Amino acid sequence: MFSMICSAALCGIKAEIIHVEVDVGEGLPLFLMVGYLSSQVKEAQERVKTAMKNSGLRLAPRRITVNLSPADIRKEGAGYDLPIAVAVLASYGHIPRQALQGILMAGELSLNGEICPVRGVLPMVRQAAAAGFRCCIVPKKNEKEGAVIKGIRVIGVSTLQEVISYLNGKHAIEPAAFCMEDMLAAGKGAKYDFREINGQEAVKRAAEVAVSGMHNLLLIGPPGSGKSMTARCIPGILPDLSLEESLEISEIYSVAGLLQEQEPLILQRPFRSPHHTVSAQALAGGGRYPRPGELSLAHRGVLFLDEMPEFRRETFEVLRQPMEEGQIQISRVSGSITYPAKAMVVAAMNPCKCGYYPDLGRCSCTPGEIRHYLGKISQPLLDRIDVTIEAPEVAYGQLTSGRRNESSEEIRKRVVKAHEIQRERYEGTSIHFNSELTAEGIRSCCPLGEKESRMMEEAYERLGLSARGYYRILKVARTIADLAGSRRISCDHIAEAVCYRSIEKKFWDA
Amino acid sequence: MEEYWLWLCSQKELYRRHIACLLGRFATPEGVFRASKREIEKVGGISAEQAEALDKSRQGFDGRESLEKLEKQGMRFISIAQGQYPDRLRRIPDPPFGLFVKGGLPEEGKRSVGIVGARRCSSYGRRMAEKLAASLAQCGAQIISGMAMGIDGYAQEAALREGGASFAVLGCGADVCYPRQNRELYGRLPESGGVLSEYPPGREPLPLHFPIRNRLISGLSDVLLVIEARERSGSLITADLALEQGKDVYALPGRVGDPLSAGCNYLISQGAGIISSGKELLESLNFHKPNHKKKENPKNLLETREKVLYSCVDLHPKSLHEIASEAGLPIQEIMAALTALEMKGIVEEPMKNYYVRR
Repeated sequence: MFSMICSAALCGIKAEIIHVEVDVGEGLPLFLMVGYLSSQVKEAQERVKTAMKNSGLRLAPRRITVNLSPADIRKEGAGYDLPIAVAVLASYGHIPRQALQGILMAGELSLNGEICPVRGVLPMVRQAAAAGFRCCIVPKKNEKEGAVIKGIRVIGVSTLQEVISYLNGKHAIEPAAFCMEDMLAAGKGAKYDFREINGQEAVKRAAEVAVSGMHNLLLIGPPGSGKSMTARCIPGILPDLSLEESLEISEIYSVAGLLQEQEPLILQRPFRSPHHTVSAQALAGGGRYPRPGELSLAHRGVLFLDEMPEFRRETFEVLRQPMEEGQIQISRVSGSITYPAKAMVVAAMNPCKCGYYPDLGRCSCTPGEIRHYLGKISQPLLDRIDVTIEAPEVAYGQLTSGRRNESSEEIRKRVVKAHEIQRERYEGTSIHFNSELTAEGIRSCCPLGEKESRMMEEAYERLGLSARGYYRILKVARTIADLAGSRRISCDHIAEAVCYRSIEKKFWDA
Repeated sequence: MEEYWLWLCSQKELYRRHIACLLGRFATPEGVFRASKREIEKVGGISAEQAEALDKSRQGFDGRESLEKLEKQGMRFISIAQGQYPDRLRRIPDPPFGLFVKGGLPEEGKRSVGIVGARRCSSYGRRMAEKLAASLAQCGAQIISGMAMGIDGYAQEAALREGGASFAVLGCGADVCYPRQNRELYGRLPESGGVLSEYPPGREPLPLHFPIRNRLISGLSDVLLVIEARERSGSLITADLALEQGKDVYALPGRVGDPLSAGCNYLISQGAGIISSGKELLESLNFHKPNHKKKENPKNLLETREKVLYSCVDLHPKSLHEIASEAGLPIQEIMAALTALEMKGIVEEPMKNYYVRR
């Protein structure tokens, strides 16, 4: 007898509906599985058979055929265990077939019949709701994650026995409840606040400018100058996440299997800080069974690259395109998938190997060593960083001064205003922030007065700027003007932007 | 005759003292050339390998061909026997027997000033070296140095910029550009000055060559200026050699506790002249600056905000943060004003977000 139930496969952060079809018929006892399956899925038959036996179900030996369609999508993971088991049971008549209609389910079975959590429940439920399903049956540990989606019942189950009695109508299970507003309220307030950083005014200002235009930021300074601390504070001055953004991030985390049971929705902007030994795949995403990488996990948040010159060059090469396009495409034989990757990159580095240059009293590096150290930075990556600032060592006076520091909240208010201005200006274009401006856009959005053009010309000649550097300064000047609420870019805005220009070889020419 | 000098001075295995031993025994380079291998081996201080190499190199040696080859490389050879050999070097205790020259030699009638200092120098040192070299060059002095990274190179570049003459004494063959970073300077020196070396063409820059070479820097100079030197540095060796050769030594004072100035301050404590200002130095050296233009005080051209910041910046590079804590203005205004000062050319940014007066 034939029966069918729906499940879902993950493609990137999107889910695709998969039909799990089972036929139980006459013939030699056999368990046959088809439908472009990975070995993880093929192993399901042992788990399913044993879990059913241990749940007290004895099935007559028959020829069981399982098909997962459509057959052109590669199926991976252990989430098909539960739908396969349920469909088999339905074919044997243990579950009424009409009970399976309009239901999507996923879950891994353990040998004793318990149901274990799986990755990607959030996008699956989202897809199910969009496709008009009435109910999703998911592992108990994933139910909160699924309940985030409105307009669909999400039933959390912990054993196979429970699923059977639920589908037979013998046992009712309350759908998981989730109060979005409570979560949102609880999620406010970042962990790190700029109020905790004394001094470092220029660094704070640079961070504010960078965030306002979503420019990438580079901090240069000796060890212990608070570069990491500054970077950690940056998510706190980004505008609050909207629900849509929050769902988007949560989906990525769901696919990566990083969502916590207690916290089914990511409510704070992510901050990812991969170690410099990270591989290119781990940074950009990929692997035999693709998973989102650090850049995607930092989506709509901050990707912090500490000790930038220590990263391997190839690692950065893979970042170039995603940083430009805001998404990562991973191609495999079985098809290509896309992960979103709109993160602000914050990099930090020491000025030299020992970290103390230009303090010649303490720096023990030779000029050759300093050059070698700088030579390790990938130029293409440097070209994508608009704001560079030096983070000095904190003087004792600054550590102990009782001056009140500005809180992240106050800074964020200004940032939000700058973002608002940019949204209005770029209404109807593909651009969202000043950092995305092309040379063409710069000409139309950054008009300069006579005095200002003269200043840029002077800067170009006197400071030996490159064409790239020229455009970067204009983009940053545009952001500074937006922060000041000014329509026109003034000389002061340009002068400040010049201060943030990239490190040039000449700075290390001692 | 000159060919034999060239032959003898081109021996890679022989340093000055070996040549001196050989000449002590055979009197002339030709005598060495004609001596039998047996006789050479017997000379004290000459090893069997050196004798072997000497013996080998004279087989098939063609003096004219070697001189032509040198010429093709853009070099000349000048032996101590020639009239154009610098008199200043004749007067030092251990003059080299031959010089390989690219470009010219220091003129006898002109004053020459040696400027030496640390390779890894501060921007204060750089600034002062450039300033002094430039004003000395304007007064017609020739600048002698070692074309090293740091002070040496900066001083020589500044002299050339002012249209003056500068001479570099290398610790390797005159056809070898060392350090490579100074390629541009190396290329320009022969046109308005020269590059010289006592080592034969192609000789590598071995560490032991440099202290030996230093006696030529001091020897070719009438006065030696030490700009920045650490304790036990090469610049102090040069200063010692200059004193032995009876030259005046001047040192640029620095802050106590600054490792880069420790050597200079030591020299001063030992009685070296103090470079208190460029003008005073020129006066004490009896130089007269031609048609001295009175420079307008740069401060007169500034806006109020810029004046405040200009007074916060001094000759030692200060970080943006130090300046900010002194000036007490909002940080964005400080950045704007510093950039404005930088564009007006009175403040410089030697390192990222560090500022110094020009």
